[in-house]
Amino acid sequence: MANTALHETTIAEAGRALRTGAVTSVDLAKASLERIAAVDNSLDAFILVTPERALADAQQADADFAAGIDKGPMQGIPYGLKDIFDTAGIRTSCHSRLLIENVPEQDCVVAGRLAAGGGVLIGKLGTYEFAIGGPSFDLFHPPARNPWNREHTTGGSSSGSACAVAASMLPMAMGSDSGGSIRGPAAYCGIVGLKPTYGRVPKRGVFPLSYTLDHCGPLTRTVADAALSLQVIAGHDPLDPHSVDVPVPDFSAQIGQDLCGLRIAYARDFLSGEPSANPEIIAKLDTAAERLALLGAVVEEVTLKPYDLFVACQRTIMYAEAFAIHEENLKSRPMDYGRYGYQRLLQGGALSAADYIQALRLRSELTTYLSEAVLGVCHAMLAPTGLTPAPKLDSFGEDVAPWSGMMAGPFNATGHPALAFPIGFSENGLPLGAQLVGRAFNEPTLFRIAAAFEASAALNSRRPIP
Amino acid sequence: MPDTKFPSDGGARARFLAAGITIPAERAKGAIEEADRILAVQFSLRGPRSAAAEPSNIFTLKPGAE
Repeated sequence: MANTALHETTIAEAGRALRTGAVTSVDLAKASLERIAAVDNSLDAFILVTPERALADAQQADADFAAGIDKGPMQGIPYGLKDIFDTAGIRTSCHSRLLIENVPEQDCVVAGRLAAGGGVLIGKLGTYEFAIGGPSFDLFHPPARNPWNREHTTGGSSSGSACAVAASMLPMAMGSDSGGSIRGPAAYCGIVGLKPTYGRVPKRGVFPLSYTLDHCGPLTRTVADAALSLQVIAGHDPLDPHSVDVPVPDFSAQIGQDLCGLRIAYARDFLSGEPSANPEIIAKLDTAAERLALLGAVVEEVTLKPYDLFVACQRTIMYAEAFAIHEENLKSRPMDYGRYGYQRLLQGGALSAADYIQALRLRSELTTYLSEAVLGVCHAMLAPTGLTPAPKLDSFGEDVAPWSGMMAGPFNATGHPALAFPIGFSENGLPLGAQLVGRAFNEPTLFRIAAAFEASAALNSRRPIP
Repeated sequence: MPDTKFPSDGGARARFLAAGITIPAERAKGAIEEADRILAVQFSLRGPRSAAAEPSNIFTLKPGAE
C-alpha cells in the first residue's frame, strides 16, 4: 500500500488501510476523481461522473468508520455502475438517445446494496446501447477505448466498466452479462469479471436486455476483489422473480487454498472448430491448464456438445426476449437507436414463437447436460473466453457483423457461474483471458482456483497506462 | 446434437414484414443479413423430444396466504 498510488489500490488493500486509519475514503474518492480527470478524456469510460455524490458518500463512510460502524467490504470504496443500473436522481441512459432524459426515482437493488454497504459511487459507465449492439460512434457518447491500446475495443457490452477498472479509475465497476458482456470486456482489458450463478444477484432495477439471460456482476483487478464485491451484492430479493433464496456463503473463504483435490475439466475443443482462433490464445490456455495442474488440480480435457448448439440456443432466447422489450420503440422510433443497436435488437422480430420455445426446451437439456456430464464429475471447467485479443475499433463495419470472437454465451443459457481472468498477453501487448465455469451457486471454488492461478502467474504487475 | 433438420426459409425480410416491421432502407441490409444468420441455425434447436418435454422454467405458482 505504501508504494501503491491510491488510484491503483485494490478493494482488499484499501479496506485494510481504511480500517487502520492509514487512508480515508475521501482520499480514495479524490484519487479516483483525479485519475478520471487525467485519463478518461482519451478513454471515454464514463458517461457521467458524480463528484458531489462521491464526496458525500466518502464523508459518510469516514464518519461511520470514526463511529465504529463497519458496513462491510465496500465501505469507503469507490465504484461505478454500468449505465443500465437505475440510480435514484441520477440519469440512467442505457447509452441511448431514447433514455437520455431518464432519471429513475429508485436505485436498482444492486445500487441500493452498494450504497447501504457504504460504497462510494463515482459515476455511470458507458455500454453498448441497451447492452447490445457494438462499439458505436453514432450515439450521444463515444464508445470506451481499450486502455492497453486505445485503437482497440474494450469489448462489450460492459465497455466503460472494464475500461475504468483496467485503467485504475476505479477498483470495481458493475457490469451485466447476457452473452458475455462482463467476461468479454474483462478478457480484452486484462481484468477479472464475474458472471455469478443465475439468481445469485438481483436484477431488479437494471434495464433488461434478456429477461432470462441477464446476470449482474463485478469487474475488478483481482480475484479477491471480485469475491469481496460479490459479498455485498449477493442475496435473495423476494421481489425479483429470478432471484433464488439460497444462503450467501463467505465468498473469500477458499482464497489462498491450494488446488489439491480439485478436478478441472478443460474445454479445449470449444476452440478446435473455430478456424479464427488465435494460436496465442490456444497456447496460453494450454499453459494455464498446465499451471492449474502444477498447483495441484487434476486437469482433464473434455469434449462438449458443439459450441454452435449452445450459442444458437442462447442467441435465439436473447433476441426473442430483447425484441419483446423493444418492439414498440423499434417500430415507432427506429432512427432514435444507433445503427448497431437497432440491427441487433430487431432480430427477435424475425423469430417465431416456436423458435423461442424450442430454444427454451434445448436450454433445459443443455443445462442438465453441463451440470451432470461435466460439472457433476469435475469441480469446475476451464474454457476460452474469446478467440482473439481485442480487435481494432476501425475493424467494425457499417453494419453489424456476425457475432465472433467471444465464446461466453453458453453459460448464460445454462446459468452456471463463470469467472473471466487474465492468462497472459499477446505479442502485440494486448491481454488474453480465459474463464472458469463452476457448479451452480459454487462461486467460492471459482475464486479459489482463479486466485491460485493469479498468485502463481503474477500478471498483475503489468498495467496498461501509468 | 439434434439430428432433425428444420431448415429456415432464409426469408428474414418476409418474417419482418409479417411481424409488422418496416425497416428503414438505410439499415435494412445489415438487419436482414443478421436475421438470416439467426434463422439459419434454427434447425439445430429442434431435436427429437416428446411432447411433454416442455421447458421447466417458464411458469410456477406459489400457494397464496390462508
